[in-house]
Amino acid sequence: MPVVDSVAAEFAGQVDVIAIAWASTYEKTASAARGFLTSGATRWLLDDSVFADFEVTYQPVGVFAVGGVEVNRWFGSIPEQELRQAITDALS
Amino acid sequence: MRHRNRVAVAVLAAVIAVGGCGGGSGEQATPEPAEPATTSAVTTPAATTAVAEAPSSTAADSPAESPTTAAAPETTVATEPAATPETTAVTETTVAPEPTAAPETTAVTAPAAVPEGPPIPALTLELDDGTTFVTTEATKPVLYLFWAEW
Repeated sequence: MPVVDSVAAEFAGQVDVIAIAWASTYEKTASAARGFLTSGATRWLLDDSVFADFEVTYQPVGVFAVGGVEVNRWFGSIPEQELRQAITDALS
Repeated sequence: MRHRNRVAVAVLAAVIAVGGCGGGSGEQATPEPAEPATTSAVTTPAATTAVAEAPSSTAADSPAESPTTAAAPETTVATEPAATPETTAVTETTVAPEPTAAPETTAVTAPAAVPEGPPIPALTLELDDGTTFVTTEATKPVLYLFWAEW
């Protein structure tokens, strides 16, 4: 998560980053968010139903959407450079 | 001979008639215009033809002697070519004014390519900061990160 938040800060204003948490309590999730999402560029929520709506059955999973269309999805943790490249490709 | 005399008389009469038409008046000092001259020239053969037809009906044995052609005065109508006016080519040189302002350029933006892929579920997400985020109303690319605190 710190890596994602760092990249989100680089693309602030160009990309919205929404961190969707599940399978926990609000207090624990908020506590983790305060420790990981420090840049302010990543907004978060706790809602299990969103996982189901996106057909995500485990985490971490990243979904990149452009114009209301899913253009990329990756499963598991990815290196920072790879995440940055994925966003750059989507913006180009 | 008799016939020839008649023919000769007819020819003389034609010549006299032509001469009469041509005008012995001499009143006009200036030459007549081309059109009246042409008219008289046309009239003359008609008159002589009328004379010439008479001997052909009476004397068929002497077609060779046709005084008609010999007596008919030749009328030459000299037609001077119309004087063509001299044309002088005048070339005007127009100096285009120099543009004082740079032409405006209009940027034509090609329509953005529509990305391919499955549509994002239409959801209204209530975020921790108290705001809401509607997935279908996103104006920028969105990274959805599914995670857990553990």
